[in-house]
Order: sequence, then C-alpha cells, then structure tokens
Amino acid sequence: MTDPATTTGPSALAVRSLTKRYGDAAALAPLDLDIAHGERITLIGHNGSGKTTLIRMLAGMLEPSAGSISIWGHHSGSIDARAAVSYLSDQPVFYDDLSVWEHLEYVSRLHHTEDWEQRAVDLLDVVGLVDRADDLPATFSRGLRQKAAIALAFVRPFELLLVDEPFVGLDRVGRLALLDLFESAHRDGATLLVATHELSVVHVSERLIALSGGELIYDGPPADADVNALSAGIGIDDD
Amino acid sequence: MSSDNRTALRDLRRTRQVRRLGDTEWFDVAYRVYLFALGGLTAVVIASDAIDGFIGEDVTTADLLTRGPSITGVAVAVACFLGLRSGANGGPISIEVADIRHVLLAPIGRRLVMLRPIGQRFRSTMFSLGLVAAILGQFVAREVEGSRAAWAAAGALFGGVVGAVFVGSALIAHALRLPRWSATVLGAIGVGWQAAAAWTIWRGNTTSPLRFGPATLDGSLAFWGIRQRGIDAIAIAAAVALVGVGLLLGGRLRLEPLARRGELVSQLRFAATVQDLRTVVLLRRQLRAETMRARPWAWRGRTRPHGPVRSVPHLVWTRGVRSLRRLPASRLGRIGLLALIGGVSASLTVTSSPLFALGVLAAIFLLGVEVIEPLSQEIDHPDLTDSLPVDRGTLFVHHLAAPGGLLVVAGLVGAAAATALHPTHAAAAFALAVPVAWAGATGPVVAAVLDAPAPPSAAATTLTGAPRDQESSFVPPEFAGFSNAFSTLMPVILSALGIVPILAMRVAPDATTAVRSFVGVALLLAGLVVWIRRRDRWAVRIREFFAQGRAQQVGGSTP
Repeated sequence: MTDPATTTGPSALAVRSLTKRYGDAAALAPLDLDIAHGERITLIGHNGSGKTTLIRMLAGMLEPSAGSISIWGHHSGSIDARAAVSYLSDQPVFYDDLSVWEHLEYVSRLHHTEDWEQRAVDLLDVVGLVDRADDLPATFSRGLRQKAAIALAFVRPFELLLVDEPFVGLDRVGRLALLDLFESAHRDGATLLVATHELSVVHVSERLIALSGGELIYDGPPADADVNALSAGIGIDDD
Repeated sequence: MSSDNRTALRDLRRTRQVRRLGDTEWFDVAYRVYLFALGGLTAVVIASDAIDGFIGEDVTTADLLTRGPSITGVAVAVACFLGLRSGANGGPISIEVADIRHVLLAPIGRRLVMLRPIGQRFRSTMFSLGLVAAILGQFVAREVEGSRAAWAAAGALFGGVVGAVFVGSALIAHALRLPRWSATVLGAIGVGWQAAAAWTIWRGNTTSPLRFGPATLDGSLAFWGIRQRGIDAIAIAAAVALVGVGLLLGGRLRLEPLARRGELVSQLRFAATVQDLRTVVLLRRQLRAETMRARPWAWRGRTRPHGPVRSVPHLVWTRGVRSLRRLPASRLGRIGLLALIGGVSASLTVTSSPLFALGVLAAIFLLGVEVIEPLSQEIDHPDLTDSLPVDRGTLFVHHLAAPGGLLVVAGLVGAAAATALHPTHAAAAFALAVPVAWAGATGPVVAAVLDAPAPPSAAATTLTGAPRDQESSFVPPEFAGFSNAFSTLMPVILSALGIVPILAMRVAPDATTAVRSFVGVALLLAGLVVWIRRRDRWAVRIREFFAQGRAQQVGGSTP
C-alpha cells in the first residue's frame, strides 16, 4: 500500500452523475460522490438499493449508463485505476485448476508485488488457510472461498479497496481477521469502501453512505445517523 | 505492458495448460476422435450417394458461374448479419469469469490479454466452417466439372472467409458498442441487398445493376474449384483485414458483457455435457439477451381478478396463449424464418436432392423447441406443478394446445413459402404443412417431458429398490453409453418422423400418400398424448411390479 503522504492532488474517488439503467429500470439514479484519500466508508442500503451496482461500476466490472468515475484522476477501468483498486466481491471467483497458492502467486505477479511470498504466507495465516494453500479453492465451502478471496484481495498493493458484502459465510475468526485487515489497510493509508448489511461494523467507519432505490439518502458521520432506518431505506427526510 | 506482466501471464497460461493436459484421458480422447471420424465419414459417404439432383441437370457450368456467386454470397451476408447481432449482444468472445476478475482487472494491457482468445475464436470458427464447406464442395464436385480436391479446397477457402466475416463483424460491433437495433438494421440491409442480387441473377437478368451484391466476390470464392478470378482476391484481402482489425480491437472489448457471457457459457458447456437440451436452449436465449416481453402483444390491460370460474383445460390454454403473446419479436422472427426454411427445404426435397430433408428436420425440430414455452415453464417449476390439484400428465397435455396453435400459423407460412417456390405444390403443401410441423414438435416435447422429475413415489429408489443416491445405474456400464446416446437421439428420431410425409411425396406425389401421411401423424400424436398422460402411472406400476418380484423372491428363499 502507498504512503498517504505520497498521494496528493485529486480525490481518491470522484463520481459525477453516475447512472445505471437496465432497460426501463434505474438501478442507480444520477449520483455525485467525492471520497478523499484515506477515508474509511461504509455503504448500506436495503436489497436492490444499488450498493453492488455502485461497487461493481467503481471496480470497472459494470459500465455506467451515464456519468463518469475518476480514481485518482484516472478513468475507471484504465490501467492506472486497475493498479490502484482492489475489489473483494461477494461472489468469489477462482480458476478451477489453480491452487490457492498459485492464485496468490499470479495475482501478485500481475500486480508487480515485491516479496509476495512472505505477504501471502502472512495472509494465509491470518485467514486460517495455511494448511489449504495447495488445495483448489474451487472445491472449498462458501466460507473458505471467501477467506481465499480475502487473501487474494489483500496480497497485492492497492490504494482503494472496494468490498461488497465481505462477511457473508465467514465464521467469527474470519470476521475478526477481516476487520483486522481493514484496520491495517486503513492505517497504511488505503481508502476503504465497504458495502454491507452488517450494521454492527458501521461504527468503525468515518463516514456512512446510504442508498435506497438507487438514490443517495444519507452521506455523513455514522454517529448522526439512524443506521437501522437507513438500512431499511428510510431516509432522514422520510421521518 | 511490462515484461514482468507478460511473463506472469505466460506462466499462468502455461501452468494451466500443463495441468489440463495432465488431466486429459488420452485414450478417451482418441476414442472420441475415432468415433467422430467414423461417424463423419459414414455420413459423408451416405450423403454422397444421396446427392443426386442437388444441382439440377439443366444447370450448365456457365450458369453455375453466373448465378452461383450471388447465391453463395447470401451465406456471407447472413454471417455478417449474425456477427453484427452477436457483437451487439456482447459476443463473440467468451472467457472465464476468473480471467476477467484476476487478469482483466489487473494493470495489464487488455489487447495483449485478449489476443489469444480472439485468435482461438477466429481459428475455431474458420476451421469448422471451412470443413463443412469443403465437404459440401466435394458433394458439388459429383455433379459438375472440376476435381473433388479443387472443389473441396475452394469450399474450405469460402468457409474460412465466412468464418472470418462472422467473427470480425461481431468484434467490430462489440468494440464500437453498436446498439442491437442498428446491428439488426445494418445486417438486414446487407442480407436484403445480397438476396436481391441473387434473385435478380436467378431470374436471368444479367444487365440490372442489382445483380451485384456486397458479398458476390466472397461468394465467387466457392467456385475457385473451376474458375479463379483475380478480382475475387479483394474478398480474401477484406477477410484478412477483418481478422487484423478484430485482433487489434481486443483492448476495446467490454468487461460487462464479457463477464455475463463468461458465466453463461460455462453453464452452457456443462448443460451440453450432460445433454440437457432445455437448459442449453434457455442459456442460448440468455446469451442473445432475449427476455419475455413485459407487455404482451395486443395487451388490453390486466385481466379482471374475479372472472367466472373456468375449467382446467380453459385455464391452461389461456395461460399458454398469454405465454406465447409474451414472446419477443426476435423469437417470433426466428419462428417465421424457420417456417420459411422448412417450407423451402420441403419443396426442394421433393423436386431436388433428398438431402434437403435434413433442412426440413432441422427447421421443424427447432420450431418445436421455440414454441413449447408454456410446457417448458411448467416443467421448469415442478414445485408449482405439484402444488396444483391437477394430474401432472393431464396438465402437460393441455399445455400443448397453445403451441399447437402457433405451429398451425408456422405451418401455413411454410406452406406459402413452398408454394411460392413451386406453385404446383400448393395443395400438398397446405395439406401436409401443419401435420409435419406438429410431428416435428414431438421430439422437443418428449425431451422436455423427460426432464420432468419422476413422481414422488418413484423418485427415491431405482428399479432394484436401492436408494437412488446409492446406486449409480441400473444398466451395466457396457450399455450405459448406448442408453445415453439413445436418449439423446430419441427426440431427433421422433422429429424425423415428421419428414416421412415429405419423402413419401417425393416417391408418390398423390392424394393417397397425403391421406396416409395424415393418418400416420395422427397416430404419432395420439401416442404422444397417451404417453404424457400415463407415464407417471406406468412408472409407479413398473416400480410396484419389481417390488412384488423382490418380495416373492425373498418369500421363496425363506425356509
């Protein structure tokens, strides 16, 4: 991860009039958002509120119907943006024919990671997969696959971590390990955007963003928000 | 892209390739190749014997060279049309989702990453179409001058060009983000233009400016077995340029459709592996981004919730009609096109080579697949079906009513097409078109009904009484392959009964043949209805019979 002091200038993430439509249905209404370097943000909202759509568009997996995304001044999906962004999906994807260790090797090398072996060993230790390093993740249970995906997301350098429903299928040890990794990445200066239904983790973030029906209904400190109401899609104006 | 990245990517691919090769059962592969080659050769030999009349005896070589290029050019125009549509739907490349997540999201030049899958796509499409065209070329060589080798080589060249046009236009449409409607319009203009050229030249008008189509030069390549023109090289150059442009556009392919296709294609391969026809059809529709219409055709608002109580058949028929009214325009267009192809092929089967019957078979089988949506929906949702207080077999039979109605329309379209080609065929065409269409649908219906789960009383155990999850197969392994092949081919064999009336008309084109055909199809349909209605009861009875046998055996062996 980069030193926060070395990254100055444009916002970590700048979103302008970002829209996603599927036919007549709007998954995300025009959205404007600025995220500063090093911020730790939680994104909440009910099912279908647009969280995953937003995260996937920021990661470059989905194309916006309109609007723009800038990551440290680079267009989303560009090589520079891809080098900066690590995406931890709610649906881990692996090659059927590569072991966990081989996945870690290739992802690290594709991202020019120095000393990746030691980092990989440390991560496998943290998520509890040291003994399964040579197994095929495609044969793992849901929780183990999620742990392998966590190791893959953290083994490479990144400046912006995009996370979608990271706690699904994780046991208590895995949850604590993941929270520690978030904390560590944040300390190292990375920007974190975590979409979740897990409201108990909201308090550790500095900023809360809530979506409902594809629209932004809250953007501010978690302490000022009625998290339960926001999660159900009830904004402040609705009260 | 740095050399580190290149090395990492190369290592990744090499590791995976080595592993795949290591996991390959070479004896199994060799056996499959042997079977494929044997089957292919047998088919080619049989087809060669049946080729007689493929090209009319009155057609001279000069005629062939004048008319042929415009007609074969239609195939190139159609390939371009299909390619543009495929590209607009996110095709023609499909890569693993893991590659998208781990490689295409890494800081690597995407053009270099995509070179290999694009190259493979070009190679496989050009090879397979070249092979088919080469076989067709050597068929043609039996009826016209020129050596078989020359015709086969020309066919291979032509097929390769068709493949390059398909993949190249698809990549361009994808990279340029061509909207689906404009891809359809552009492709249709090309096909229409080329078809007009073919029609003009077919009618003997050699002076009209319409006699040249955009793909006539490409079409001329198919005739290089007997005539090589320098100007045709333009078509080859254009195809090579398309390949080059396609390879260069790799970096502009979009991740979103690539990811969608990657997931669907991996499911499609699995469904094809387990020979699940229904799932293959469903996934192919999803690949084409075909969804049912939110508003049905001729929608007049929501039906009243408290209408009069209706009988079960009426409710099921109404539900079927509603389903068919939600078919998207593209699917209705495909049904119309299949009906046209079926009608034209049927007419040519009678007047030309019997090989055209294969075209009829393909058309009526696919027509059946397209129209049985209500039945397929019922079978895809067994929990809903089993919650209804209606016998499942009866329900399935009533679901055939609406598709049967749509097949009447399709049959009439096919009959009109056959009549347009040969007006003297009108009476036979209109008499037999609907029965042929219905008979053709029996295969897809049987395939769909076989997908329905076994009745609860028979689902848990095999015929031997063992729990189903503990006994893999009732038949010995030597017969399992044959049994699988038979169950895969049976729907096609049933649909093939639909072409018997056409082949019969080829031999004896009179009213008696038509009446006999009608009776034969009626018996086939009656058998189908009886089988669907009673198959669950038969399954339970057979199970009981075996159970009684086992009980007697146990009783007899007890002292």
